[in-house]
Amino acid sequence: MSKIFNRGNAAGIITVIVLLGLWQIVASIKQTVYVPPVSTIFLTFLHEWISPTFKQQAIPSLYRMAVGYFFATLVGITIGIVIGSFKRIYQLLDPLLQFWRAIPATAIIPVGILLIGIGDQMKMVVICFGAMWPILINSADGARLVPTERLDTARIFGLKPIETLLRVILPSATPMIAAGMRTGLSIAFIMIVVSEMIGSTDGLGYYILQAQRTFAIPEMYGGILLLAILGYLLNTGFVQVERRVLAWHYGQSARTT
Amino acid sequence: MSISSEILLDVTALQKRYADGTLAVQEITLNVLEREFVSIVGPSGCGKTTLLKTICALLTPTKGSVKLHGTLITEPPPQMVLVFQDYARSLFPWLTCTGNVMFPLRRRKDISQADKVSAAQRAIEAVGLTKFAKHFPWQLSGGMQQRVAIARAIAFRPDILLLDEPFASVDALTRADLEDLTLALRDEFGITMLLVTHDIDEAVYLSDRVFVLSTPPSTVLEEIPIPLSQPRDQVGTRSEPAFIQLRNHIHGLIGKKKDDGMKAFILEQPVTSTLELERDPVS
Repeated sequence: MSKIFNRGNAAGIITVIVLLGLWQIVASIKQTVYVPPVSTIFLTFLHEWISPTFKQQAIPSLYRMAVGYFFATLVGITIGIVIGSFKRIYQLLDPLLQFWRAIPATAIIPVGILLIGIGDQMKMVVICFGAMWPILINSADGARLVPTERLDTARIFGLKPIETLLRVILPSATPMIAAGMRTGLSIAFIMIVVSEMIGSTDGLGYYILQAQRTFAIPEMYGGILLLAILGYLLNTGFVQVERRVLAWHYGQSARTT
Repeated sequence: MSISSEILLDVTALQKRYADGTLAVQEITLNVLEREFVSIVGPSGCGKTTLLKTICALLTPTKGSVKLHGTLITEPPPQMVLVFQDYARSLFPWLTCTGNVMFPLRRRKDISQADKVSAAQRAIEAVGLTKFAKHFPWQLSGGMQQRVAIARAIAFRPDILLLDEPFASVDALTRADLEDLTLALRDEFGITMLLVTHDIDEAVYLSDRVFVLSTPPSTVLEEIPIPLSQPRDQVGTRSEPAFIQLRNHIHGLIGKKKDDGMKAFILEQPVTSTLELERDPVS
């Protein structure tokens, strides 16, 4: 953790402090309800989130996201690796996939509501759907781009197709899969907020929209701040795990570039 | 080390035409005796890699046959291992040296775990990488990476090793080291070697017999026995009059044919880009 506060980051932290200070000064002078001073937002934030509200609003969001993202990863990697490993299947499906991925994930929320209703399931399904595409496409590319020599090596040593898939193609594709999972994570985060804004009775998306509608402006900003913190922590955590699991990949890239 | 008179590998009238119609290998007949070191030498892009891949059944021949110990080959047989020119692509970067050498052994049920570990250790020792067993391939130099690939191949205990330009991507000194290593491994493990190279000196230095190929579609121009004294020595062997005679003879063969071939090639093929030439699919 000490690495977060190294010298390179010091300048960045100063930037944040200066901007927040400016906000504080301008908001205090202007006295507008729409943009409360940072201090008000911060106090509201502490008051709101170090309380049962966190369990009522943040936990459901995180839970839905975890389930949706888990299945997005599972389905995305499995289908992606299979598509990428077999040239015929890839050629058959690639145009369809390219078209499908072009649909903004949020656009399918109405479809989800229509088919499943506005419950937890719908949110998990749309999160899964949105986050799955980058994972699937990257897994397929990762599998497709395994060097021929590596596949030939597997055949030379008599590996069965399923062994080649699990022991050669899958590990070869992990750097690209991880990149897809990172994109998928940020999409999952967008999907949870939007799906909760459209049809929900709890969750962070619901909370922020509700705060805005009831004119609880500091609460609204507090909710956004919490999202920012959660998003930052998720991404940082992901990168830490990725660096560890793919140490070989980063070591190799550092050598060759 | 003694070469037996038993034919280990028998290639008869082998032809490979790609699906796009390119005839890479026209008709190749050759054989390799047990514990023999045979080289196939030819100009760049003469279809040598295609030939090796067809011999070990990674590619299906359009005509002809390959027999190992008298048995027709249709799938890559476990007694035959191919070592690629591009070690960086054939090694598994997520595994250490030991991991790479153990990789093909791991799934074999006919060997006990203890034997696998000792086979891997012995192979790594034989290529002189014991100190680097826990390193990842990308932490090693090119020559050392190719040693890992060779160790992986010999630990599998094949009867014959097919070497596809294995020393083409390393510097000259490393190259000499690896050449001598290959000769030593042949003696230590009794493995037959079939090497493909465009380096005439290398082919003569290493081999008991050399097959000279033409430009594509390739055929055997000449089969040349190499009666140089054993063991071979980088300085001594290369200065033997017989060595110089042999290499000059092969240079003459390839040089002449290559000039003719290139003229024909240039006339026939409209050159669209240099990139395409470099990525010649038949090389």
